[in-house]
Amino acid sequence: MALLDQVELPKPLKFTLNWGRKYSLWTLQFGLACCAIEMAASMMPRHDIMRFGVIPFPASPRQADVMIVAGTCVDKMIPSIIRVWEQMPEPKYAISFGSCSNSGGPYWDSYSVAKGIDQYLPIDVYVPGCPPRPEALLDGIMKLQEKIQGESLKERLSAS
Amino acid sequence: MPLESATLDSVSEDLRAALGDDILEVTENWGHLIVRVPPERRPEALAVLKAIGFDFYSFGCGVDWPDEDVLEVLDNVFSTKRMARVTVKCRVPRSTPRVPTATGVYGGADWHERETWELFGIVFAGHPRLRRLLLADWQEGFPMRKDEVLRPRVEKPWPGEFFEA
Repeated sequence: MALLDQVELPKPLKFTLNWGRKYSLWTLQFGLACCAIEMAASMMPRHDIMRFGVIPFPASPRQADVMIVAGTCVDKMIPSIIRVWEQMPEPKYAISFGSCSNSGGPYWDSYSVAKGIDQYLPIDVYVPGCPPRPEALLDGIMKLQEKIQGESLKERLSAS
Repeated sequence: MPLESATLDSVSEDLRAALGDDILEVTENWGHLIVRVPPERRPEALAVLKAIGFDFYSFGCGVDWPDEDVLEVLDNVFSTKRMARVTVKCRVPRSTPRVPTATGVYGGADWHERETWELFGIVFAGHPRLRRLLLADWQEGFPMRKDEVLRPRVEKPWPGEFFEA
């Protein structure tokens, strides 16, 4: 990555690199509540998230490209989420899955629930719903792939 | 499961025989007994219940009654032999919420008392390790007390009222 954050790649090379990156998304599952069940359902044969190139079983956050925060983030959990997030190598992406991690959801007035995980992590894609259907997560993955295809790796790496 | 009144009568008789005048009130609600005792007699009341067959500490919790300036401690015990359920209640003033611990009688009361302590601020005197159980270390106040302010509600009122107006 020594060159990639300094040199803007030629267009064909950039296209090929991003095309390769977007179909190999090693996804760290941060399932916290009922949304985790829907996330698991999207990885099962019926919805089969793997056909989008998402590999949902990294052995550690150090191998992951995407983190899916699925479920209610309580204040006590936030340090753990940030710690796992910081262990992931660049370039990394975050998906906020479900109303609770988007904004607090039904627990927006609770004394212990964080009002949106985007206060702590840079979220790329928000998936609304309570809980969202597995199709919604597939749509979120496709949105993330569009974003990866269109981005410049130089800007991404030099910004972080 | 509702109980036959004969079972309830025998339980309340046993309690009255052991605790005597300490029992302030015995009521029956949907087949369950509710016993009110003074806060300092809480462990004794639970010990009596354990001795007469109430072997399972089902749950313990608190209730806030701000109008009466009272915090209430509830202990719900269950007898697997008699298939009966008894709630022991004791009331403490909100200014000095202090009751003796029941961990010496029922070991299962440990976590329930820690939870009640951090949510209501009721101190269980003699508890071996009165530390936080569920909440984050930096949490302030006692969230389950009714005068505790919910900050998001202050900043933005409930949307239902917004739509009615």
